Amino acid sequence: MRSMSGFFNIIRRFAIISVKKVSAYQFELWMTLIQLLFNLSFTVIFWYTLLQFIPAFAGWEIDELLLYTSMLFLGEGISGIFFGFRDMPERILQGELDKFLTRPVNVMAAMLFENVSVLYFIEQICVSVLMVGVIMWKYRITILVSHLPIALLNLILGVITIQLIIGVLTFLSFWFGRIENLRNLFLSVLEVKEYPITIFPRPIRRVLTYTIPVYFAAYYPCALLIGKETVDIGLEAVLCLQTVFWVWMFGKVWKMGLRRYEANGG
Amino acid sequence: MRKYIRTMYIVFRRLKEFLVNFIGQMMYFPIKFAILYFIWSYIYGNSAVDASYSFEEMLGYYFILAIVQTCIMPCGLAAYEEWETINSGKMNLYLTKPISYPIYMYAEKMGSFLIYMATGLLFIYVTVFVMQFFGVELVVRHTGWFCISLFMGFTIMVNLFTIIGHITFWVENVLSLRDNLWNIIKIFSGEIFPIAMYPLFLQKICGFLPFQYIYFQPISILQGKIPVDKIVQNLTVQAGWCLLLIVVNAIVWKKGNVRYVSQGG
Repeated sequence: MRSMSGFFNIIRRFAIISVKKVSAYQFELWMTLIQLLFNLSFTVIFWYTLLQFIPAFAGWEIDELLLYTSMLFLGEGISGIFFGFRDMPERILQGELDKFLTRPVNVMAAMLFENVSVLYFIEQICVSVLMVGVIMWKYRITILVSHLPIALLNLILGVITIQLIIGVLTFLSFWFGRIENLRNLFLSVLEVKEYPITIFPRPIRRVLTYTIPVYFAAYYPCALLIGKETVDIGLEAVLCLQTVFWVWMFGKVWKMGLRRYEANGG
Repeated sequence: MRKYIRTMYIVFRRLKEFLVNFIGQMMYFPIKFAILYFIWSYIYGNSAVDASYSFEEMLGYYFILAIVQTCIMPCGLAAYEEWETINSGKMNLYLTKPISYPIYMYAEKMGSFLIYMATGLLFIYVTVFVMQFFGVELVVRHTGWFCISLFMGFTIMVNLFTIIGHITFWVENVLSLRDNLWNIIKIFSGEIFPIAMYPLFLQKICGFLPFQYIYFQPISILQGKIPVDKIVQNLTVQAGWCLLLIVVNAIVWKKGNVRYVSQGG
């Protein structure tokens, strides 16, 4: 219980520091907001341009694709919690873990949250929720409210499980040093989630559902909301099993990695 | 001039490092290309696409884009390097030397660009002509025009990022501004789609900006999408943009570097 409160305490402290850091540079604050809007606009421009030439993409019309984009964006906002993975291999190699290992703090939380731009990801979550509302209002899309809790649960679990896989790949740097190429390879696979998964051949779809839960990280939650898919207990069980497995694997590899870690100090 | 050629020569000596980097970049290429292949084969296979690009041309466009990006993108580091140089006080090193920092930066980036361009061109021709890559076709006789256009695209890019780097003299932190420049380039340079396929209003906006000359114009030249007389006209406009950005770069540098303060160390 005490370690949990320590975990949340350190997150809170780093969140405050992050907000102070960003607000110290007013110019930077505005630039991050503009950056966020740009990130959203890429996909909107892509779909808008493409749907000039075809009436629908895999049965998805522009309004549905925009809703899909917003869900994807929401998922990316949630995955911001794990932003700290980005620099972790370098920090492990530089022996920077010493800083946390010698203090009475949760090392994982400290590593994940020390450099995260909390404000950016909060902004991202807010903007994507706003986008969902605006798209529903503008295009008069009715969502299945009964599917909302399960859709959100799928989105959160899908996103977290993918991040746990990225985490496990990141921890390989305890053994192999530079693993960025391997991780980037995996990240390039994840680009498929920008498109409705039904356009890919069946074998790939299976991999993206049963091996890497990309299916649950945007497509399935959005399809559930607009009634393109129905709740499938089998799929829900698959997601739960994957989440449990990767949580276990994540903890195991982290502990093994920490045991292997050594540094000369500095 | 010799000192800048020497700077470029030092970069050439790191050839092996750049080649390894190029191969590293190409490692992700099959996955990225497979995703693009599935998307576009789905689109062209399931609907009558009324666009100025055929399926093969579209694949060719993204294929050349990936290579061209590998050549040009590293010069975007210029902004970060200058930001770090100014904030760490290391600018003293450059200000006390008999060199111009912006030209030094340009020469350094040009070294890596030339290595990447030679490797990339070789990679494109081997893949397309030897391996008959997905029926992609290129106009070989336009290679010279392509290289000139690509070089000017590089000049535009490096000047844009150097200008962002100079802004550090005023605002201290320019990293998000730099990221936004990346974003603007992504939209208006033809990274998302060939600009010719954009809605008319976006095409018009692109016409007023220099960004299409970074990727879209060189690729279109190599794909034979632009007639020869239009190529010369476009290259002239591209040269105009280069000149303008070089002038802006020089002015911003001149106004900015007087604001630089360092306590030594």
